[in-house]
Amino acid sequence: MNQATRTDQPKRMANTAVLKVDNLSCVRSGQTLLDRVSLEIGRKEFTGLIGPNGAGKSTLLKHIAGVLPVERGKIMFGDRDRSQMDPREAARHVAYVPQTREPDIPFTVREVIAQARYPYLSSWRKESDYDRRRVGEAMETVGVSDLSGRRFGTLSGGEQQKVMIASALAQDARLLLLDEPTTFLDPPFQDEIFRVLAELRRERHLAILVVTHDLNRVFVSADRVIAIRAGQIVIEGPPGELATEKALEEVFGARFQLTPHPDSGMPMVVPGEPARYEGEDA
Amino acid sequence: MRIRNTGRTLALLLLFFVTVLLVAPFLGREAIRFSDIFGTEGTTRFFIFWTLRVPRLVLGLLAGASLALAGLTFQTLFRNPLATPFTLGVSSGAAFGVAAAVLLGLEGYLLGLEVTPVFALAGAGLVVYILYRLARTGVGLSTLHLLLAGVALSYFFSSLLLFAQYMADFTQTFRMVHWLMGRLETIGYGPALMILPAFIFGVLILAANRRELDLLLTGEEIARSRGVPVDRLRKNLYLVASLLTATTVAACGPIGFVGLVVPHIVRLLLGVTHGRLIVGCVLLGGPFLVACDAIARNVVPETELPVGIVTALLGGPFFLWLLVKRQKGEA
Repeated sequence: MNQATRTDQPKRMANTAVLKVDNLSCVRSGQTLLDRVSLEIGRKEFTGLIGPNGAGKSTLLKHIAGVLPVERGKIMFGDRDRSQMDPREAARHVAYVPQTREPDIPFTVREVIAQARYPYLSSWRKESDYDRRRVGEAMETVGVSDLSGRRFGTLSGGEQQKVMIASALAQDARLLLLDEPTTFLDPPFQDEIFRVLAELRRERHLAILVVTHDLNRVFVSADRVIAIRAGQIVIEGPPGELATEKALEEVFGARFQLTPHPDSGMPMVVPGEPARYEGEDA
Repeated sequence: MRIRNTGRTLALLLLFFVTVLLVAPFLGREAIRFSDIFGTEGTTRFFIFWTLRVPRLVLGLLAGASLALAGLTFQTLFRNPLATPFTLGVSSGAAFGVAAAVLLGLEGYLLGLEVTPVFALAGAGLVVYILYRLARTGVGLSTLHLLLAGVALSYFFSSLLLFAQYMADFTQTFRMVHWLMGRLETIGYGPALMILPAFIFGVLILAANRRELDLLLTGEEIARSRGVPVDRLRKNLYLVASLLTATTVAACGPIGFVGLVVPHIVRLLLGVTHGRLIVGCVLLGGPFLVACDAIARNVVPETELPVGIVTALLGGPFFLWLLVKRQKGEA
């Protein structure tokens, strides 16, 4: 069964979307969190999802990941409707790295990553050699093999994040969702995380959808940027189209200062001088 | 380090299990020699061994394992190391049922059934049902509501019990308090048979859901994104742990501490994945309770202490010792 899904995916995916969201809406206690959101993610596509706090980015990701139930609209993986799928089957299509973690996960790194094989295991079967190999490969790809026997709770924030990405990888899904994977990490670890993601796309051919407030990183790394505000997609296009003062003001309702990247020339957001905001002379 | 020692630890647990199994039935006010158990039927010692001691051993093994499994399940379900089988008031409900039976003068046998356990089971079942209704959401169970409402119900039924004791006469009150201490006294296999189906059912359900339990501990969002039906799982876990608790309490009264401390000891000995924890709880929970009972029967001359007193007296310091040792080892 596992083998079948894995072998027939590449040819079917030749040109179809890995993910299709169709008119997804979400209303919670009278508040509209998502308003008829439609989008598509192609194979091997690296997409950044940006927008102000409370815009609905995480809510959107949680619907795709199966953390929240879809009430209005449709989510499709390839040509299959998520709501028609068993949760385990859906988990073979999409893996998710949440924004926050429980503070007291008692397992070792290897145990946490091995848990990601759940969608492929039945109640009474032990992990197979294949499962163990996938776990080992995931640890190697992300570079956490050395941490294998360490207790998850004793790792630094950056190491924990890498372990969560490795576990998402061990889930063997075509689409990887990450919710603010670099928040709380120091700059080298932020680099490291995005380097790993770029590698996963290039070598594992994964489609990646990442929510982040790190706009420059998105402009540099992503193939496409989706901007969302008040539960609606406001702009969608290649980074160049979003990296303008006008577009960013439309998304965030605030003014930004941009300056070209020394290598690529892609406009980068730079912080304004504090004086600018205090009304003093520059 | 943990992985290297697993085989040895399991072997030691098994050794403890077998030792308790072989030794416990011979201990007691009436010393039993090996030759007595194959002696002539009808002798006092033959009767004591086969009708009192062995059924008591079986009851202890089943009760200890069931309480340990129920405690483990509640600790994982609530992500709370202090959860016990009695946190949600199942035992308070059972105690109230027993008090009602005592007050109504309905002790002994009715239609061939012993009345006290039936009332205990009814009281426990009432609490389980009320809680289930209170905590039910559209799709699953709210663990927060379960915990809060459970603690509230627990106090409510404890107060009802106090009220019943206040209204009762001296001998009735003594019987209620005696029941509350928990004991493994039994004649024949009746109480053990009351626990057995729930125990088998519980072990099977929990073992089948060991991966889901692990994922629940890693985090609800992650569990859902990996395909765990979290809502259905929580409902099932609540019902299974409640069933284990209710039948055990009905058969033996509320024997404290086993359900709290055995899962923690197993965690320290074997690791934290539920596959190991379930095996460990079954291997250690039963013998732990039987050993406590053997001590309770023999430590004070001419009397038998209720086993509930010994579980905490013995298990508490042992647990603290293990905790301190482990802390020093990891620092």
